[in-house]
Amino acid sequence: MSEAVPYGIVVAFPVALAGFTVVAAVFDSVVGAGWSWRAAGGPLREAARLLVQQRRRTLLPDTLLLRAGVCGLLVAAVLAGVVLPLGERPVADPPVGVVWFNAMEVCVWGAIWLTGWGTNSCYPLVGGYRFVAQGLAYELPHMFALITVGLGAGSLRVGEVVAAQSGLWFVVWMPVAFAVYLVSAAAMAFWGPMDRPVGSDIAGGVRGELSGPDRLVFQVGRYALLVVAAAAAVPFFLGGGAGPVLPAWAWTAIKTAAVLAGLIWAAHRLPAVRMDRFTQVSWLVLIPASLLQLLVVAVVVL
Amino acid sequence: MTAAFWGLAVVSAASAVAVFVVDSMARATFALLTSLLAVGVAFLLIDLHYLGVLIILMMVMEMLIMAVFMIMFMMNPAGLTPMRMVHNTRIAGLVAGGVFVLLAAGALLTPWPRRRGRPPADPTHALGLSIMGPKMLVMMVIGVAILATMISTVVLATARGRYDPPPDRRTGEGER
Amino acid sequence: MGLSDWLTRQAARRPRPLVVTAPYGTRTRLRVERELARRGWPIADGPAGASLLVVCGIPGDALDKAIRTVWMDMSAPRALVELPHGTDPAQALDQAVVRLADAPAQRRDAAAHLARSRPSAPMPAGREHDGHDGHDEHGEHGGSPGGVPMAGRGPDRDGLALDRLHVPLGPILADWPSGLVVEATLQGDVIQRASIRLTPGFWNGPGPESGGGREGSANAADGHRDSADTAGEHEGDARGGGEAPFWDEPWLLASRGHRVTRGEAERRRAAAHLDSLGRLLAVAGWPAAAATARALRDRALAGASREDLMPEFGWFARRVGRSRLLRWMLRDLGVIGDEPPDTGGVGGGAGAPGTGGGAWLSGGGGVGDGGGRPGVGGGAGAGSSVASGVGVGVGVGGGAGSPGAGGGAGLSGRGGVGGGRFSGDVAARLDRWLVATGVALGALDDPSILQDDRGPRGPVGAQPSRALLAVLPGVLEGVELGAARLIVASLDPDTEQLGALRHV
Repeated sequence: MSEAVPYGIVVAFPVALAGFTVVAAVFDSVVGAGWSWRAAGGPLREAARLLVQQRRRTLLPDTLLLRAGVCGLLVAAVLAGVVLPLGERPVADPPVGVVWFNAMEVCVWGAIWLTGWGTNSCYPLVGGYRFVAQGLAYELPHMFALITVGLGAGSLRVGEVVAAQSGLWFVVWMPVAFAVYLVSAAAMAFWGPMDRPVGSDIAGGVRGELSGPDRLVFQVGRYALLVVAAAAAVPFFLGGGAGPVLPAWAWTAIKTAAVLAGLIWAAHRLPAVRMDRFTQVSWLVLIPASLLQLLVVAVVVL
Repeated sequence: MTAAFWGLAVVSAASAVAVFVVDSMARATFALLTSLLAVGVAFLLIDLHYLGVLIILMMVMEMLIMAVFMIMFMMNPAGLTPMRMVHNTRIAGLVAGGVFVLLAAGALLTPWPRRRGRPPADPTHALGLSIMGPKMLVMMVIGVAILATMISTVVLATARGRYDPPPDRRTGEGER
Repeated sequence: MGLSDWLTRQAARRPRPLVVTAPYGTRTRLRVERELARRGWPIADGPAGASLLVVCGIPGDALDKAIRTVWMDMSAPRALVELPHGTDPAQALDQAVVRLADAPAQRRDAAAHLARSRPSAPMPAGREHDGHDGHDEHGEHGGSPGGVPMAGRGPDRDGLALDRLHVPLGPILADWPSGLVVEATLQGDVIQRASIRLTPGFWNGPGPESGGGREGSANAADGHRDSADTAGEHEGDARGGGEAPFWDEPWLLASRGHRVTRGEAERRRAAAHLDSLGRLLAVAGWPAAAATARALRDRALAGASREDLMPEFGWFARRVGRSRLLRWMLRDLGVIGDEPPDTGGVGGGAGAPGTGGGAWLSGGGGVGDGGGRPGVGGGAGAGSSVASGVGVGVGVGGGAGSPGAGGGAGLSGRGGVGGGRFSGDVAARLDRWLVATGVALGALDDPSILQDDRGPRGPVGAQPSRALLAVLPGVLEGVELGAARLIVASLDPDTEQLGALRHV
């Protein structure tokens, strides 16, 4: 953190994050409309609508906590993203970048719960409740997947994790950890099959009482978080910016787009997963599986 | 650095006070979380990266689990009714004052050693070695064993989960 | 203001509609849904996300009140689209877009909305106030802020004392049977108790409560009238202009001597099942599959041929039927058994068993009137066998309560849900719909004359939805909110059926 960060990266990071966020929203809209490119303008019109829309007022909201939650989602997504390399190097490369990513992504729990609580309404509260339950279900296997990565690289610094994959990408010899990571990436961004915290069955869940700018910030935060979750798979499992011919940043962008597209496609391809069913599998199957993966990697490293 | 430390110290202490001043459990919970996060960031200042980030990570999770219990027992979104976050003020005040005096005295009166040499490259590594030393492998095995014990205890202890049908309905009787 | 006007105009071209269906508004709803799908306007998941409130049909007073409440709380820019029977949705939606794009008018609306400064009550009903205060140990507090009493406590199923919240599910909720309200007592996200009522306009009798909802609701008290009176009210209150329940129409027409071919009836049956499937899949969080089901439904209703529909339906049925994830999520939810009726309940009557014999489920017993007097449901068995060969017996609740007290009529009676049709879990019901849709689509070209009355949900004359509603509270108890939504969607009672008594 001490060495000087190139000015370009500091500018490129928010631009890249914003660009991918818009692309994710557009692609989601297109796939959601049955691969109709007519729907590509949807997210931008929606953003316009939310910009001019009034705020919805509920009875006795806790406005301070609500705003903290809504903004917290976007802030957590950005902070989680700063340790991810945009090519050669990230905005910040702390020695514990992997844990930092994990910590920021856990901060999302707080943001979502606050949003659900603050509106003082039943469905959002249930949505917040669901997200914490979802967090407890996915977090342990997720942590083990990240620890596997750290163990394989012998470091928690994201830059060194990437360097350790110069020979063989982690996805090749840690497939279980990668699969667990993809599941938990969807879960942390309450995305795709794991979207019950904002499910339509509880009238929009956490965001059920948000309108206008509140909803806009929330939606942007959610897509940004999805982008960051997808982008993190690249340095952790897919060799970072490594690849022939093209420069590192291009490969990072291509791989991120591929993971992102996969997550968005899966979201429309699969029915939703409820935590009252998933938690048991997560604890009884995914945790042992990721522990075994950890053991295998530990043996290989030794 | 010093400014950052004092800033964090003020945030930490102020939000700790807020825990007892605010009138809703949610606010109290998140004031406490803010206080602990400031402590976590203070760890980052002394280059204990791993411990600092871990404090942030664990505290967020702990506070959220606390919040779940809170809404389990108090289904009042946004804490409709203002509540006082202090009970039994006299005795609590005495105990708190006593503990504070004790800790402050300890901090002020301890003959802190002077720094010799330079901090290690990876303080967390050094700290771990000095605490656990050669017992590292044992500790790690125990860690996994504790996790396995926790999970199996939970699995064994819950004959049925919160969402499982009650035993009398499991056979598909339909109702009642 | 230039920028905000421009944004308003841009946004107006892609509004987010929230669709509310009033009694006998199904035909209009289907036209609206098809039009919205054609335009690619995504449906809002709740009032906060919506900019367009589309009302299909003519709401009765209570539903109208609910709609007004939702409308009052909706944020500008917004537009209300009311579609009485027979209006052209396309034209009305075009006009709504014009209204949404009218930035000055929307600004005035927003200012007026702010001036009213009436914050919405997110939970329309009050929280339970048990007399004692649940939060004594938390120190002092100021009674009931905002006029909303604090949540009271009740014993949890695990023996813990937890707060309870009374939340009405419906009537304005996406993918929800129109006019249905489930009064749920929640502890956390688990329904501890549930009772059912319909917004008036569908059926004018006492609130159809049964199962767990024995406490009787205010609505039921309002609705108590003599049976004869109730029947009279139906005629007077038929604001739908004599609209028949849409899904049962061919069978009702046939029963009145009209010439209806079996092919036409099967077309309606297939569409009805596809509509139910669309709802269930949407609630199950699979919007893509739901959209396919609805597109198929629209094409079937528009008169597409069998050859045209079958390949895509086959593909859809395979995808949905083979989804192991969906099966895992729907398994063991809302299990309805097929045991003989339990006659030990409050209600005395029981329907006569169906001719096929065997498959039965008790409807949950009669419910008392306001004074706690049990209404005696007289079951008039209307047994007939369905295609599957399983006997279906549906007890028509005949109100036989003591006239002086105003007996709880109709729905409070014991209704048997035909075991063959609705037994099993949510996954089983999904499968049955898939199979039945395939069979119905196969018979689209059948030119023979329709002679039976086996509608999409069972014998039309016996109003199977009545029995479905009677079962509902029982299967919703102890269930998580999302699972409860799935269970309701898997039964998908047709509330229009309940008012149809006068037609047959």
